[in-house]
Amino acid sequence: MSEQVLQISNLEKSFGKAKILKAINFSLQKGEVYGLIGENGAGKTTLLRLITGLMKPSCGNIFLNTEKNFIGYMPQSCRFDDNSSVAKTIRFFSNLRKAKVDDSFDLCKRLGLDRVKKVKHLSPGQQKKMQIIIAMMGNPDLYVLDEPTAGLDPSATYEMTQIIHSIHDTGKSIIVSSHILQDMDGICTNVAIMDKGNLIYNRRIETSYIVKTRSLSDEVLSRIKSRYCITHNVDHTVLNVKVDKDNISDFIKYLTSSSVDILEVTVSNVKSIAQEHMNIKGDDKNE
Amino acid sequence: MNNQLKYLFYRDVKKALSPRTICIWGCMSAICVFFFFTSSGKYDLIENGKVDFMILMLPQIIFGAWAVLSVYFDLVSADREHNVLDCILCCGVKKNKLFLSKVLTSIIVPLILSMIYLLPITAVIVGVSGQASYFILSLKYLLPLWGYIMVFASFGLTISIIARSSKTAMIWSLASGLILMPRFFMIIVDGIGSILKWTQTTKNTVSMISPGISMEALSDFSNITRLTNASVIFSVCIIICLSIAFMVFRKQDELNYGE
Repeated sequence: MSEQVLQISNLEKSFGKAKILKAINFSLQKGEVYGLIGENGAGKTTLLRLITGLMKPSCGNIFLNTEKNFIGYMPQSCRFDDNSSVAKTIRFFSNLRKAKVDDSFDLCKRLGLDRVKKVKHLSPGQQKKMQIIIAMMGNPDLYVLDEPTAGLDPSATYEMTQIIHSIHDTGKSIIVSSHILQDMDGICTNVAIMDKGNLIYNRRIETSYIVKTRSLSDEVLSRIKSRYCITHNVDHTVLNVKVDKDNISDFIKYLTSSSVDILEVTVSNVKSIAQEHMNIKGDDKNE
Repeated sequence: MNNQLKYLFYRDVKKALSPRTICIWGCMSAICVFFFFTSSGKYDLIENGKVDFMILMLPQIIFGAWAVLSVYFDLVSADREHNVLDCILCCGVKKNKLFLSKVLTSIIVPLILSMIYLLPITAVIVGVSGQASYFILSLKYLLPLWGYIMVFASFGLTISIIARSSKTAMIWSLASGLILMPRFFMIIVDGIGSILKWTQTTKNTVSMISPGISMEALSDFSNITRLTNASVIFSVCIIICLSIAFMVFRKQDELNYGE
């Protein structure tokens, strides 16, 4: 059984009368990469700030099961002291974390970040590289990355996703939020969707398929529901079925035998999950 | 000293004593020397062997508040605005420790600033008079100036913590620096006192809220009551400012994201 790194139960956050997060429950296992998506104001950053301990919850618990007393946090945007050099900034943070500065300097070299350069002379992509280097200092068990690819050009985005991959390869747990859904594909093992403070979707990516059909009658739909774990949109034209790779053909056969016109079958990825989520209403998909 | 605190303090001191700060305080010091030669300062020293408080502190009385606040207004606000504060807190640094480093900065840096300000004029006085004993006289002004700068430093730190951005902090600093300018503040107190029918003694006591007036009282050892009042006012101001700053700092996120 895999080790649980983060457990969130009944988490709520209010600012005055405004409830920003409503009864959030989820857990993160060691080695998992959680993609957190949602519209602006959905509560993603608030949730990330609560996980990092920068904010206190109004209600509920956050249980962190990590050896290190720090988290690899990368905020949405960050500008370090303009007049300080990359080396000095890195040295300062490594001193705070009691981490080996040489490891960070090695990483600088690998990522092509000039240590002598002043922070104010770094491009946005280089600034982001420095942020992730700082987040990686001391090899934390949990990473919280808030929009790591925002504002980056395609090549810098690619480099950033490669860095996140390399972190994942070391077996670390990551929570990453982003608006750029393509960037999340290939990074995330799980996806969670937030809407108006609620966690409305929370699944492993590989276990789900999207089947587009002609509009289904309520009767057919209820028959399918009785045999398979599905969610659907309001028009009954998009089904999201939770079956593994070996059983998807059985599901398709079942639909065909039920005289369902199948238009398209796709493996669920972050983008398709998000698109589907835009259409699905009224169902409680919180797991 | 705890290692994390040491690194935080070192960074804060470096940030506070930036080239901008050195330049501003160097100019203040130069203005002080200029005033000494162009006013009656040099004549009084040669003829009567006196060094007047006003001659030494005039630049402080006029520009002091702004000069100090310019050092402190972005000590926290800039870090918060650029999310550096979050990165520091995610390094396993406790908020109390972070605040303590700021407090230490608002104690130690004012001493350095007082020296930067007083050393050139002291050298000039010693040089003009030809008597090294005037060095001791300058020390008499070091303590009140240190206290005066500390009051504004803690005030600047509070503004830096409360304000949401460096820009807001700078506007507040400019406004409060203007209000607390002694001459202007005395006019305000005089006006309010006239409406409320205060006695001249009450007006004088209330005027001491302006650090510039309190500093003058602190350097006058002949009037013990005034000196004690000024000491109490300085201490109370520093304690109140730092207490407010600490309370706000602890709940910063709730306050900043809560609206």
